[in-house]
Amino acid sequence: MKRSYTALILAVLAVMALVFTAYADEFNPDADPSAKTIEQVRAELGAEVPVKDVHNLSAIMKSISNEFWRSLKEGYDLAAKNSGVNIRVDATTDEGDEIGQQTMMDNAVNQGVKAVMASPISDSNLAAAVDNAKTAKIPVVNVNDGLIANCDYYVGPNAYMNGQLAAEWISKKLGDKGQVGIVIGMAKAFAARERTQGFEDWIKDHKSGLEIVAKQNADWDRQRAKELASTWIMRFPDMKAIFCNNDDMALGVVEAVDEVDADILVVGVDGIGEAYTSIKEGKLDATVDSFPYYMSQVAVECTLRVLAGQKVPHVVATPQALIDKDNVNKPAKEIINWVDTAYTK
Amino acid sequence: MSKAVEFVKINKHFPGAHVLKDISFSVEEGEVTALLGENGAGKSTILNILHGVYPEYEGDVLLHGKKVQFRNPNQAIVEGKISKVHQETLIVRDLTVGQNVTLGHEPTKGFFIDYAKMHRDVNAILTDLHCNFRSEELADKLTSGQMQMMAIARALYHKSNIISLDEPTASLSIRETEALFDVIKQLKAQGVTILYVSHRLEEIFRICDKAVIMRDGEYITTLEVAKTTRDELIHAMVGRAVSAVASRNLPCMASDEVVLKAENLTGPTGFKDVSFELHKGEILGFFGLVGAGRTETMRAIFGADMITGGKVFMKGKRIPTGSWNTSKALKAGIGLIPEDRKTQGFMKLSSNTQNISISSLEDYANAFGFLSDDKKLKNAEHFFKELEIHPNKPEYLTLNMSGGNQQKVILARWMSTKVDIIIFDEPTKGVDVGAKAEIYRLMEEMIQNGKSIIVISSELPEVMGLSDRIIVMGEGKVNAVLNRGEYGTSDQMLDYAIGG
Amino acid sequence: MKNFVNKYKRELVVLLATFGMGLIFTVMNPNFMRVSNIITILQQMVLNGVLAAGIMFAIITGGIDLSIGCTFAITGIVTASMAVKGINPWLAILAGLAVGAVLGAFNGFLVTGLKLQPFIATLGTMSLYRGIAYVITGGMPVTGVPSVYRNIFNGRMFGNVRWYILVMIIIFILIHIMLSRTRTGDYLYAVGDNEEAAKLSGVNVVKVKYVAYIVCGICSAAAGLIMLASLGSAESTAGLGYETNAIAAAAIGGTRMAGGRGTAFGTFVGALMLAVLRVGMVVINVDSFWQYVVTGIIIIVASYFEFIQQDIANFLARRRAAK
Repeated sequence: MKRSYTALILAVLAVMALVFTAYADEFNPDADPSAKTIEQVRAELGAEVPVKDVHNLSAIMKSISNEFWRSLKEGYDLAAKNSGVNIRVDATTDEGDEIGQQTMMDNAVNQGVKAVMASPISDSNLAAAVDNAKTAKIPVVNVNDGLIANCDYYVGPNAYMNGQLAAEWISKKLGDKGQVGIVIGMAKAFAARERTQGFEDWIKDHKSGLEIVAKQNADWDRQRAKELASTWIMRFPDMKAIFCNNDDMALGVVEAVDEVDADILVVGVDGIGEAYTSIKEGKLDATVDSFPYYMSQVAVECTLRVLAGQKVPHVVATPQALIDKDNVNKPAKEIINWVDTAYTK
Repeated sequence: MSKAVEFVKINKHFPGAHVLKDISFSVEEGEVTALLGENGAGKSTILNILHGVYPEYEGDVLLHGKKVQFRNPNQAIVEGKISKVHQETLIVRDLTVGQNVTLGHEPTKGFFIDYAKMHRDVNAILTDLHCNFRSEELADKLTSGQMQMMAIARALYHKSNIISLDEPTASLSIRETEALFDVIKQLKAQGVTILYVSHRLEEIFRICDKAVIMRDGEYITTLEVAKTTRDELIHAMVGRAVSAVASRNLPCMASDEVVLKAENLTGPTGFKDVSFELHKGEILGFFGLVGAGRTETMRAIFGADMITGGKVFMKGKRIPTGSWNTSKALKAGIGLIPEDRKTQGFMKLSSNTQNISISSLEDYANAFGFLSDDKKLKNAEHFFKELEIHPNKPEYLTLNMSGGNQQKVILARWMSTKVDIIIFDEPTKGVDVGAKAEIYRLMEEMIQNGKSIIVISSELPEVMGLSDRIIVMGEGKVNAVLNRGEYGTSDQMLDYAIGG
Repeated sequence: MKNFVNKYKRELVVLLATFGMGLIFTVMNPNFMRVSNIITILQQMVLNGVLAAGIMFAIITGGIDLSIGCTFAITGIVTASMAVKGINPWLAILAGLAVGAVLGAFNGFLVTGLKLQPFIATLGTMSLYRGIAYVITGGMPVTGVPSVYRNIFNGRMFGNVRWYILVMIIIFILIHIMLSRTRTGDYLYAVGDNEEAAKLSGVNVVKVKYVAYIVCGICSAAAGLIMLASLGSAESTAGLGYETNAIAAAAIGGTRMAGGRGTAFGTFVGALMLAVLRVGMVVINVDSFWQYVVTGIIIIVASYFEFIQQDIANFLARRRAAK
């Protein structure tokens, strides 16, 4: 009997310890007051990026089964070509392999790369690897999504802004009134939380006439988002717009809306190829694209600036823009006014 | 002498069945008391009530004059000092003997198990019981006899003064049985009260003082074994006169036609160069000690295990041993009634009807080819009547029937098919005298109808009484083929089995 | 009628509980019992229901098939690619079902031929099949499935009800007949109940297990085809984690995880209950985080019905005997 009490107390203590560590040092790049855009960085530090001797860089990513990460990889490849730097891109085979990703990063550090650009699967799985890199005096740049609190540099889009852009666009289209719903994606909660928060805050801060009547989770799954939207359409006949935390879910919602010919605006986030096609076909109404192809180029630029000894800000926001039928055919470069990085040897 | 256990007006119901009716009797301290009755008489149920397996019942249980009601077996062991040595002993094979004996009550030193003390204590008990294995050995290595001893050691570890033994000798060799009897005598001398359940009447006469007779959930009488004859005992149990000895009422029916022939049969499960012939209408006995390879040979012929060498002919046609399986065996007309009913014989979640129909489903299809529950039921009802299966409830789970009736259900399964060769593996193991006699009668009926039978049995009187011929096996090989009239004495048979 | 009640006691208890749940939702929001909402519920149980019907076969034989979500994805991709290329949609459907059967048969081979434990074998094929889905698509979605194909399942019949609801009902009826009226059905239960005893009764255990995994594969494929019609596109990531919901539906409906027991009716009711729960929680606007909590509790409670039911049976038996 005594023994089981001891075990119980130990278990409770263990759970409490876990809970407290989980809440320790939260890092929110969207709320960083010193954050700068890449344009601001270039204006401050000079447009030219010096590349001293040939570097070996490492990029650690998530599964390339997802289009977003494929585009990110293409950006890395282009930056490697333009700068003449050797960049080795490693990606896990599935999006849940947290330990595998950590091993990849430790390997890169052990092989003596000059810097690591890391997109972690979760907020915590690369924390130890980053410490290792710091001990080895290798700078680490955190690229988008999974947030590493102990990282010196963060490069990525402002997820909070994703939501704000979407809310602003919907408000304009609806004359600032009507019921809206939000389909959230729950696992890996940061992006979902910030996008939703940005959307809600915009409505609150602008004393908008939009009214959020429903907010539910669809696990980033297209079919589930469709089912959720079908239920809403039945439940809220006056719903005028649905904001989804990513494009996959938005494309599911579009199917539900089309089935009943409802007059509902659907907005997603990410700007995947299928979303562009859907906008061109007049089905999806808008998406907030964060241009992973350019995001990785910004990441490489910032990394090389750090290696050259420049003082790069803690958070660098990468370009993003809302895409709808008006600008869907415009080249991305034009939409975000992208200027290729100028590397000097 | 005082009463160790007293049952007062015990009643017990299961869904749809009143299994114990006003049972009252007592057991004297320090005696060996047999609990006798046919399968389904309620012996196991009353033991389960005593040991806390069934905490809910009506009536009172008194232990040394004090009323008790145990909620679970563990409480019965710890508080009541009463232990049960089960029919199929429950052991954890990956643990040592010591761990099995002390399971759940290991001696501890702080947080950790005190293995030194465990093995010291357990070895002391094992030495007391004259066991030839030690506490440190893995339970997996033990023979069934040794496992039984381990279970008794477990009872003594808990300082039990009342121990029930439920069919303890069912899977023991002759030598192991003798050793067990010595232990029982020793325990009795130490003042331990023993409740003994067995279908083997010889055993009752050898070791028991009293015999409590039960029938159909009712208490019949308590007899002094020393003053009772065998026939009286059987009469009390069955309620009528039955011949418990296996014997043939009909003459030999065997013809010259060979229906099954094995030539140099060899397999990886433990039989080598086995050759024999089975004639139409014959009862062919297979005798041998446990592990002689009889069951393994028959399983292979039935397609349950692999055959790696030799040939098998059925009705003159060679069977493809490479692709042989039980489904093909069934179609070819051969059936097998396995030794262990619970693990090999019947489906536990299925009704009697389902268990009977499973091998002959094609017979219950309607015009559209779909199976009809009514047809299955009709077939089951027919066999329930013909084989006098009790209770007459085809819809009951076979699991809830008693041993002898389970055996009859499996018999009915094969009688529903068109097979004409049936292999019986230990057909009367754990079956009471009444059912035993009926099974013998059915076997005779089968050969009369032109079927052929192979009987594997470790009980010499059975195999000698029934068979037209006997094949004696030892260590996977055929040691002797004996015609009726050449059997000799039991000792001679054992000589052949050991390797004459 | 009495026979039916006796035979499907557990299933009926779950069905009653589902109605009870529906009533609670209706009290909280009267819209819940509207016909249109009930159609929504039926629509939303289709995928999980068909997948659960399939996995039930594997479970009845004492196994499991963790790869159903992946078979689901591959079928969608294969059929989508064919439909996009303008191949006759019925031919594409046939091809999709054939793919499901082959993937199921491979599971059957691992379980019977190589004698792997079903959990491990299908854990392996879960990754293997998912990998195949990635490889053949390069991770890109297949889009632009023509409406000729989509209308086969996604079109409407009377009363705005979609065809795929009828498809699901037909699948359940076929499975019911197969399990309760054919030899294969009896063999499936026997093998799951006591494999050794089934073998010694002359049942071809290997064949029966093959049938179970092939049916499971075909059902997963059918679900994949319906998903394709419903979304108009197929992705290699589709169906991630769907096996857990399918197992839950089967379990709630009384399928015994150790094998030997499970009915088409029960699994249907199990899937229905989960759909009622999901739609109901959206309708009354339960917070997403709490939806997980509630779903978990319902699964546990529903699986506990079995014991409650046993208690009730014992109680009634005593009462009857006392009289």
